Amino acid sequence: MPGRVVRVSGPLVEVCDVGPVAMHDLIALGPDSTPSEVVSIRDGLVSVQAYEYTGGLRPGAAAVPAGRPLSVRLGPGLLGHVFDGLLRSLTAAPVFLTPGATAHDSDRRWRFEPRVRVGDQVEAGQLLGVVAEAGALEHRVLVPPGLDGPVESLADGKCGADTVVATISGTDVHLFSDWPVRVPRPSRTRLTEVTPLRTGQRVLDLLYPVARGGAAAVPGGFGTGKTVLLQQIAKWCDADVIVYVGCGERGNELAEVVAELFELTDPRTGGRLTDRTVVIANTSNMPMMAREASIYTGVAVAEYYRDMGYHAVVIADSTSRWAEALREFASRTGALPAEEGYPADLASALAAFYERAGCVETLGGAIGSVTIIGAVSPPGGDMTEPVTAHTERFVRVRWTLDRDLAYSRHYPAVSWSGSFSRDAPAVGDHHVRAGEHEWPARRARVMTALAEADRLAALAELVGAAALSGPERVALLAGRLLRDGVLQQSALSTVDAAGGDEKAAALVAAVLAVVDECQRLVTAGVPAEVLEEFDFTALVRLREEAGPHDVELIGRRRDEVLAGLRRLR
Amino acid sequence: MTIEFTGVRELRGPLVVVGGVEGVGWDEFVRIRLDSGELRHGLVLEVDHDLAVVQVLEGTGGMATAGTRLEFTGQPLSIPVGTGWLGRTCDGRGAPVDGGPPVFGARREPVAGAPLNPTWREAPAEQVLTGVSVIDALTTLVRGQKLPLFSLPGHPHLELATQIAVQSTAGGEPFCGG
Repeated sequence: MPGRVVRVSGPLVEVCDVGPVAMHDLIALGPDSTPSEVVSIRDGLVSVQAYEYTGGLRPGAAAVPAGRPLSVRLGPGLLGHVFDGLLRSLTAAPVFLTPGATAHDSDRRWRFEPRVRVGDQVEAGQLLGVVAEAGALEHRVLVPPGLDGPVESLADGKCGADTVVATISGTDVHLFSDWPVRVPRPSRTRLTEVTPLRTGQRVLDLLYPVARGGAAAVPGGFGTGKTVLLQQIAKWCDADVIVYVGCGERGNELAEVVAELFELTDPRTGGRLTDRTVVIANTSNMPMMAREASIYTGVAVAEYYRDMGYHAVVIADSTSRWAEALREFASRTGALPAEEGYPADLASALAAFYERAGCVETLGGAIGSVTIIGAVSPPGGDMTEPVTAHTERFVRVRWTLDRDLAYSRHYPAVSWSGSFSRDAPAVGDHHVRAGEHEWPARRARVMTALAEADRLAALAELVGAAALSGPERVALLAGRLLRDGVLQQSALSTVDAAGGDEKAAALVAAVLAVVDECQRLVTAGVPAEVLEEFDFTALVRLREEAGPHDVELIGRRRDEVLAGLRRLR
Repeated sequence: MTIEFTGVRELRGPLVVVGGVEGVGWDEFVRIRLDSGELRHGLVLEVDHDLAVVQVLEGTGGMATAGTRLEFTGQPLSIPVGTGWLGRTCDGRGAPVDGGPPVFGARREPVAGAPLNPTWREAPAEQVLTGVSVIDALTTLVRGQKLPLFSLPGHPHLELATQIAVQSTAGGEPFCGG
């Protein structure tokens, strides 16, 4: 005897007589079996949030509890495809997403190759076998958490989604497994050793690096280039798996990123970039509550790959739209509004998301990580609004996008004065250990030069540049050269879009060498105007000219510019 | 056969609360007949047991608890779609205000529509030439994108929007209006 619906108010539905249910359990509503999740239970009256349009749902309609929490189906074939917020395939869905349109199950079969033998003792997290033909990345089937004992049977060869691939001490292990999205997947320990995630964006890798397993927020007002920056990171960062959660953003932009990923080649593997990407799409007009789940779905998928021993990056664009979904639903349930109408548990919801980032030793003993990068869209550029303010508490890195930089066509518009990276010292140590001893000093020098240039620019606005001393005017020039020659990086460029450590180091060294020469010249009596009017085009164009490993070319151009400068004496 | 419910419990602002209803779904379109015979329209905002909260599109002015009858259509608000719309002027509900006959179409579609599967979208790339050089050169519009005009009171935004609609072309063909 199923329960029944008694009240419908948009995505908020109340049901009764459903029997024993727990919080976050899944309940199927009405004739379309609309999925919904329990959000409150009071006196036998159960409130649920529906994940699809509830138009036409009536009091009296059936409500069938699934007996398990909201879960996603994890298995091979996720990479290279687009899914909705509940991880149902959109690639296979029709053009218009009417309720129930996405509920197909794939009947594709996979070739399972065992890596253990019947009779072996296995532990949770241990490798059971791999799935061939699942793309460039080896898909590993592991012993599920909480299971150990002897392998009693093993499958070999073609398997469908529900095939039992192994039996371990009486429990069946399937090729696909369900995992509740709100529960972090277990791991053995969190690792403290820091390795940087190379984003491919010079301004980030050089000034505000993020560690693997870290969390970064990208706050930026309307039109500052958040989406483009995140797309660049999705394309060029050195992770094994990218989970791109397009959450409440424009469908056209999502279509663009998917199309580009299909076209571009992964510089590390030679395959297509899409082969390492899972896209979770909940565009601005798709069901609102699935947006709430999509964030957790994304992290669950990333943790699934982390457990296989891969480095995964979750990119969420944008967490503000997700918080708005929380707010919309909270106002329907009549929850007391806290700051700006957001629910009082906004901070803990944000923490539940960002705290799932981490670099861990998995149950099977491998090293894997989940890095979370979330965009925040503060309305009106107000950085004190609740989503931005709370997010800053839980992230270690903030890349603030600056309106003035964006409007002066300086891209990526990452503000060097408004950003921070708590990972920077540890990342510096890593570079030193890896043999790059100059890295911390180089970063400090660039930061100081930029800050000094900003200070002098503010001063020059008051008193005029002519009133500054020669060395001060060279410091202003240094800021300009660093901005134009190093920090700017065109997303549209075929040469420069992907960046690279070697190239970044060489470019910074070239600019700093030129700045040093200018300081020497100005001290030796060369007027500052002469230096300001000197043609630095060859230096600032270098980033467009030199490929990722063209250190030699950068050195040659640097020497040409230096030689030109010396002729000014 | 149509069933009309009369149990209006409450009238407040644009809302009607009607009791004793059965089989009413959320977001249904409602026809409301007043005692005077006047026809109004509404949408179901909430259903709770046998109560339905209906938003009246034309407002509740002149409505009384007695004599108001509500017919629930079992469908969301939909309109006929097709070329019959060209050259017509209609109100927000799709009813003609140009004195002409009702708009007909081969099929009806709900006005809320269904979300477009993002995997079926093609990234917009074909330029719309608006003939307004500042838009074409600096803030290029492409077919399938959106062009909001942010304006302040007293500025001729409507004239600009109309001008764009009239003279835009994409791929050598009139883009819209004309």
